[in-house]
Amino acid sequence: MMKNRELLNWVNQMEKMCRPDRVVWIDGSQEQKEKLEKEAEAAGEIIRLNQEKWPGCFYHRTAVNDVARTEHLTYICTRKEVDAGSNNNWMAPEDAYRKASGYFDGSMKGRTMYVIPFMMGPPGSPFSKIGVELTDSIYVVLNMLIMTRVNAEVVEELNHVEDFTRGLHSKADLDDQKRLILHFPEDNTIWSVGSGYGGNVLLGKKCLSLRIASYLGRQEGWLAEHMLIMGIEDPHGNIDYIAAAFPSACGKTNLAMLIPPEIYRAQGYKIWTVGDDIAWIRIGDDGRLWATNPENGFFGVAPGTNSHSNPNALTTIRSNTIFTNVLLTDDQGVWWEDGEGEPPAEGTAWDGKRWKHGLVDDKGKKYRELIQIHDLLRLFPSAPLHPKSGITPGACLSLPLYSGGVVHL
Amino acid sequence: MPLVFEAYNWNHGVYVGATMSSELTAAQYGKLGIIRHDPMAMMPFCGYNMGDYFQHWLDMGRKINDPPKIFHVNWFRKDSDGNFIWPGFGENIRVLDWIIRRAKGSADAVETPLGLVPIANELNLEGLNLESYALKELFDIYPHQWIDEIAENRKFFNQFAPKLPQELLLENEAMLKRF
Repeated sequence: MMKNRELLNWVNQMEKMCRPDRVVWIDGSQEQKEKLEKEAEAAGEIIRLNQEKWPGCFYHRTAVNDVARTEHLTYICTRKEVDAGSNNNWMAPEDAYRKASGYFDGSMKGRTMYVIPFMMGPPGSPFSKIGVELTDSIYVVLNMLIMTRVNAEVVEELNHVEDFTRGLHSKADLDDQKRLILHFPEDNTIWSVGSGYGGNVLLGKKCLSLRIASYLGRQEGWLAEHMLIMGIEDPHGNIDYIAAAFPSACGKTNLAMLIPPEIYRAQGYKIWTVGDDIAWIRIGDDGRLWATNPENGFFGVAPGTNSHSNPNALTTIRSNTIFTNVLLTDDQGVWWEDGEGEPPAEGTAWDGKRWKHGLVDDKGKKYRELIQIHDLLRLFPSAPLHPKSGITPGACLSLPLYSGGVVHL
Repeated sequence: MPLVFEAYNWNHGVYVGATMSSELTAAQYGKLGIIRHDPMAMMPFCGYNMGDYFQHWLDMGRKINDPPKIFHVNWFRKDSDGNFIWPGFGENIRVLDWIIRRAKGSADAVETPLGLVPIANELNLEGLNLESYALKELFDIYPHQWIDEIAENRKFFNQFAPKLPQELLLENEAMLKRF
């Protein structure tokens, strides 16, 4: 039972604005998750895949106008414009709240508002941050249950904290003219409206764990970084950790889940995947850098994921994975560009239209190239996750590493 | 960009991170194939002024005992036929192996204008079918392109003035002098 008055008041205020038919608190239980899966399936929001081939897996399509992070609609709303910098779009907080309130007003009528208390980072760690996301999307709930920590302990901890990140999300009518992803770092608040797509709506990920966290990190003396964390275990059992920043689509997930070639394996080298996207980095009591992965799951791009590029990911996604916007095959399986094996003869594409191998769209493009751009999949964390990823204080970081995706130099 | 190089020190490493760039990808709403600056891969994700962010990184370095070494890698160098030279994927551990040995002080490196690169035979290439000219190509540095790049990076930094830390401009100048 939630007793945090601040939280209850806020949920109440948001409920008055969005006017959902009902409010459901998410507790992280398996029973509730299965109930939500059934509801989403009945509503056509997700499709249960062939459970023999893809146990525990689901398929979801986002709206055709809603297939990428929308950076031009993403704002940092600080009181002073200079604090957001030329690297961000800026809106004054009062203007942003007013404009978005217009879109949120009554946006959840006929729908359920889900309250998701979640934690980024391992429980009991000084790294961790607590947040609450309100959303009218079961897809968001099911993703948050994988990507973040949602459980009874988090609910209990919320009773004792004064501050938490307040996340509000509504699909509203998925109108790209009324879509906004607003961050209020000075209020520890995120408002996202008009989208149902990954990074725009899973508010624990890029919104909290990078944008809000980077701001908090500067105030509190730590770093929130767009980095993978991996451990390289040598034949003597020593593990050295690397954190690495790569631009999107430059193989960050593949590197994090690397399988060493035979010549290294034979000597006893092993790779430990701690995280594939975000690193929170602090200076430890010993004066060295320590890093942890605030996330609890993997979220990656499907095209190009195959047994050559990333065998660990391919094994991992055979179960308990939510696939988004990939090709749905007629036997309720999935396929994507440069995936494993031969493409199917036909299926249903990301836009819900029938697809045939070699089909060309009205712009003369091969239809499957269109699928390629928009595919995302979610990976469940059963790959070689290092045990340290779940404990405090994290992995001791040897070396930050940078990579450009540049080929021009 | 060579396959791998090590920054000379923390501040230089922050400069290397701050001058990262990439092509636009599918996860972003926009055109493919446009090169854009992406400091520390944080351009779309830094929740405050990038100039302050660079300063925060420099400040952090001063608070750490014995700051870790910072490296830059590039798996994507192509030959004149447009083929990737480095096999990538699992073989990338060979580069990480050198990096870790550098961190522990058990591998040698040679100075270049960009930073420290492995001396011959320090990179374990056993079992790889890599011709010696290909290895050389992986580490080639083209000064005329870099001189343009250094000027371009200076221009990029200007947009963050007056919040841009002086240290990064000094690194930019120092790099030009090394060519």
